[in-house]
Amino acid sequence: MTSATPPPATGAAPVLRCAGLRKSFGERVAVADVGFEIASGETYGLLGPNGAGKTTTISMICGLLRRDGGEVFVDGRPIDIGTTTAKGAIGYVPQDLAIYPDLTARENLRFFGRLQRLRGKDLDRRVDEVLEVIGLTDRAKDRVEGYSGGMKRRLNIGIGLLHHPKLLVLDEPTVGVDPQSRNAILSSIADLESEGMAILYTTHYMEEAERLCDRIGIIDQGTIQAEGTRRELIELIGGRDRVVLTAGGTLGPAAEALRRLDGRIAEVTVSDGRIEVIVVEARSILPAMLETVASAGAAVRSVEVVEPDLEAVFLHLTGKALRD
Amino acid sequence: MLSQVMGIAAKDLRQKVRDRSAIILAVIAPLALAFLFSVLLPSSYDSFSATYAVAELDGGPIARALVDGPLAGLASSGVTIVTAADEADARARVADGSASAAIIIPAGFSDAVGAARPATILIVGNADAPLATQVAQSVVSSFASSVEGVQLAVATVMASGGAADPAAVAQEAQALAAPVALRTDATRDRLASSSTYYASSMAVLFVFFAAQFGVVSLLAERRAGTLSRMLAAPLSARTVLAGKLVVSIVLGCVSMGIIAVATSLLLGARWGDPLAVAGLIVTTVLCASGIALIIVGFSRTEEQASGFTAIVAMLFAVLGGSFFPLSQAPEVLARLSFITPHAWFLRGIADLGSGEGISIVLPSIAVLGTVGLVTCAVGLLRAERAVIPR
Repeated sequence: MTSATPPPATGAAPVLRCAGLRKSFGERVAVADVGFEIASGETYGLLGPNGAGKTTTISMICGLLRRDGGEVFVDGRPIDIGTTTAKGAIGYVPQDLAIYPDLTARENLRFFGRLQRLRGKDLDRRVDEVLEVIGLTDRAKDRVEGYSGGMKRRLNIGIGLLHHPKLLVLDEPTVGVDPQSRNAILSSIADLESEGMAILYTTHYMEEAERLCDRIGIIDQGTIQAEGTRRELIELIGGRDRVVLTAGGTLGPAAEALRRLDGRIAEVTVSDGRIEVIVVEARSILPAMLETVASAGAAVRSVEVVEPDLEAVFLHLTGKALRD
Repeated sequence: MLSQVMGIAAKDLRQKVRDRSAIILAVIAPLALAFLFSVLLPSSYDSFSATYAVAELDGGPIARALVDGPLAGLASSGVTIVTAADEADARARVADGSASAAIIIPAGFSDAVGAARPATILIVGNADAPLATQVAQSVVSSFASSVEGVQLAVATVMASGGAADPAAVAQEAQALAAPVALRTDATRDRLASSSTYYASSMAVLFVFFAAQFGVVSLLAERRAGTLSRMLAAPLSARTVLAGKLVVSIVLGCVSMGIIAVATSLLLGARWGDPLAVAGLIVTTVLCASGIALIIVGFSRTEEQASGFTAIVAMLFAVLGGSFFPLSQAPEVLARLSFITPHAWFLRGIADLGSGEGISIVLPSIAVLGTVGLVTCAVGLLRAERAVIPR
């Protein structure tokens, strides 16, 4: 629907700026006119199903794939297939495990650190720091082939962090990871954002995009269908939550009190011992709603907040589910 | 860039050391084969022996000069001379295998030479003993050349009214024939000892397998995704390719170097002047690495590249004389062999058997070096286009 590149949310100069990216493989158009910007300290998510064009887009941004059209600037410098020095601003974490199983974690990190032009004590220090961050200090001297899947994933990410990149590109880093490791990985990524790194994160997991990303581009069939914060995207389909209160007692006065509570409450209905409230940003007003209902003499037994999510947005925009 | 190239090479070499198959194929297998061939297949050049049936039907001084001179001199080279009663007897000995070749000097030979008329010596070879026949032919040809020179002088004397004395001609021919014995010995030396031959031929055969270990990992890294990860770093595709090429060259040099040292110590192989051998090894490894890189550029998978390398290595080995000496091959094959690095390398090692220094192998080094540089350049260009993701 749109390939516009709105200004980054933070207002800072963009670390990544790409526009008009196009790539075809034979007759098949993989990416058609994709563009967006990411500012320092911002996490941008590319959310889309498998085959949507996420990895192709990332490959062009990292200078790994010759593009048919468009431009990429990282930290103000152009990136293309033949670029060398400017790539130092990028930390690339591929979807598949791109590590050497017959080397130790330390050897893997040292090797990729040297490729990133780290030397001597700087290299040693960064390797130690990254091992600490990814929680592999104790296993640093073990060959990677003996690691669990989650440990390998963490090492895969750690390699991308070695040289303090300005832009960290993560291509579906949690695919095939157990829930516990996934949680640890997502927490680590959230910490990186707070360190001022710009992060480009591709995923087909809606929950990850919602949890991590400041802004999200919904991509399908090689095109960014919509872009914005989670709230902005949800507003595309109305942006209102539905709160279902199951309560005992007389519910009429409680409903009336809720209607008067706040302008964000759009609609209140009562039926079969339940009060249904249509409200904007339910979570922010929920405590006040419960207090109001209780004050009106109703005894709340359960609360259910049904928020419109990115899955619904994707469905709305493309007519299909994210995991189709 | 150099640091990145060395970083890639160091990482790969560490992996190869841990992957013992590389050591087995690059060092242990060629050493074992060189040892087995040397022990189980004693070479005809180490223990060269032949029996020549000589039918000396002339009785003249020039015929005697051949028999008593160059032919008798072959005794020290492992040749036994037996006297045949006549041509039929000589032929029969060849036919029944008791003689490797027959040398028939017809009646009137000395007179014909003395009169400056055409004279013929007949050599009958045993098909099963081509080398012995070749040596006999070589000895007689050299003697004939000497006689021809003297014959010219005789003709000049006769033309001026003088008389030709066959005994004097024989004496002259015998004196001139001395280089024949030298040439025969030189032929033997050129073939080198069997242990040297098998060591060098196995080394050049297996260096192709050793060299492929370096560059074929490009395809493995592409499949594993680590190649893309490397290329996402601030380096060029050529840096990666150069790193891989360095690995091939190091593996190849280490492989051939170890084989040279080990066979010298264990098998008594005489490789020759170390500087010259080093020059031959480095340039041969360059050829093997370049060819391996070209093969990688035309392959889609590691398995395919390994298969192609095996085919090329074996084809070149057969053609280039790694399995049998080119001196025993038909002339066409011997000439064709020089399209292979193997032939130039083995020729260089054989040349060093004469005891000379690096100057004698400079032509081989020049050819190998040129071919190596060209194949490496072509391989780099091809691999950059075909292997690096676009």
